Amino acid sequence: MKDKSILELRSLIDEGKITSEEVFNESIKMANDSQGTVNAFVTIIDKYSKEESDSLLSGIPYALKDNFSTKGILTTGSSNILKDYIPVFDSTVYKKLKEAGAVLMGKTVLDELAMGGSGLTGHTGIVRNPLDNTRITGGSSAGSAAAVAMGTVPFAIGSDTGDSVRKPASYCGVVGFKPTYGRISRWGMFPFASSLDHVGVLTRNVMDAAIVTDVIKGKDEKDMTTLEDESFKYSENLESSLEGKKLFYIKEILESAALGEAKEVASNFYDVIHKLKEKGCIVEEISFRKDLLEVIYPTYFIISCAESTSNNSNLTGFIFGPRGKGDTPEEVMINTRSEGFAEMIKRRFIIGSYILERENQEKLFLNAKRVRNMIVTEMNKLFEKYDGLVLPAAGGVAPKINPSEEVDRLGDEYLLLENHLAIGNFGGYPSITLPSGFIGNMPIAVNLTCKVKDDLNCLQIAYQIEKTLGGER
Amino acid sequence: MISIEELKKYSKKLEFYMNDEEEYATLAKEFEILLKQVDKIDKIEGIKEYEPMSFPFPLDDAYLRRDEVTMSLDRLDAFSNCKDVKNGCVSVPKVVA
Repeated sequence: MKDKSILELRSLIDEGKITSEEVFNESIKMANDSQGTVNAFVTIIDKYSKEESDSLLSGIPYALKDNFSTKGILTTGSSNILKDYIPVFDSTVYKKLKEAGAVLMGKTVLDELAMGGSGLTGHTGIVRNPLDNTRITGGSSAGSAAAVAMGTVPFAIGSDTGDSVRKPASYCGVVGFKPTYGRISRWGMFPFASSLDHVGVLTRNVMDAAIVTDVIKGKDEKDMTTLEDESFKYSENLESSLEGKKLFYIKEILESAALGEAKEVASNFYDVIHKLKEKGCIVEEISFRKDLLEVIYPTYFIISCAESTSNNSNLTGFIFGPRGKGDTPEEVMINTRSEGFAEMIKRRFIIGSYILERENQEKLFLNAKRVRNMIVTEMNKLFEKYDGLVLPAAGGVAPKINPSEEVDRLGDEYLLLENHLAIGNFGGYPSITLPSGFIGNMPIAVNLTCKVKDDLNCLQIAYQIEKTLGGER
Repeated sequence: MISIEELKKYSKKLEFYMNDEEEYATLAKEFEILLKQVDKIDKIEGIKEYEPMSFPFPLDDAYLRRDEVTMSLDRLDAFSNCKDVKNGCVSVPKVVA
């Protein structure tokens, strides 16, 4: 079953060439065999369990990021502060997948509490890129991207607050899709930064991303941010033409890719654009305010730190999680939280708390939210003229793991090519990363972002880009 | 510039400590960069003409659910992850002597 897509596995199961249980057993064997090198899983499920369904996902194994609640199954957020937490209810995503007959085979490692982009900060150890174990997977949906990349499962679920599905997809050579904000319920997903958090899917191809999204999307009365569902399935409407589709890319971001690996990324990107134009797609270069592009990361950082500080204040050790020692409730809480959070998480919370101080709110929090509005307003104007924004998904291949180098720290460089994916979260836009080539043996990718609620168009264009690049698997 | 003492106050307010002085020093460096970036944001032309954005887009189908009594979580379930339960309550160290 290794490397098979959902539809390929569907055919094999339906034709009786393999049973769903055999697929599951093979999947968990691969997962167990890879733990020593890749370390993608917090939990590997040892018992096959499936509900009856005639869905395309019936009998298909998948992996779920360990920040989605699964009743009776350990769910840690890859943090020591939740290392023994067993949820008492199901997240909506898990419930829908269960009802569709999909078979959960494992819970995947993330950067602690989803706050990171490396895959190096989970409490069970670092996740290594399956394509080159000396490199990172990216994060925070590190284990989910790795599980799909090594062929253990045809799809995995992730969450995306800044680029946490789409960047690891690029580094691991798989497809990563984050639909419009509210398209998929976040009920039961551990919140990081609620105004930016999305559910996303990682798959081997665009069709599979559409199939999984079809199953998990829709209105959920338990999540008031969810959108009314459309009356059609994406996977049944993917065929379209690139002829006349209008895309744009941002000159200032491509210009920042002038040296080294980034230059190779840009060269691959221009090659992709050339091929799309040959198919009748209109691709135009536009100019975007550089002062806004340069503050994408600090804007994301400020908003997410502030929201996460508030969202995680319930982690006290009293109601759930390991409880620290102490003679007073305050001592218990201090010891629980001091031992439970890693250094980087504490730094983010302190920064978030500082940002939320009344005297700092205007200059820090509110200004960051104004920049968010400025960027989204400009983007919305562009989406009136264009079907989508196309850009390289990252500035290079997955970086080497360097234990002495601190990760996920605010830097003073303007890495436009590394940080632009957060635009998709600022505006809640549907956004998809798909492989576009290699530098050496490592994959690189392009990203397509479309206007709010235009998920079908986004998937249709991505499907055609995939075909044009010969990447459908 | 933000002092280490101030950072310690924030840390205490958040009910945790950093592990050592080195971690506070790292945080102070991060603050230095953050505050530079904040100054850059503050100088963006036209910024005050925009409202702070708290949500990606306006929801056109927002609704209030019916005000019906429902059981959300069984009491035993609610306690199932708690490390110390006594007489149907979460037990914590004594607050008053």
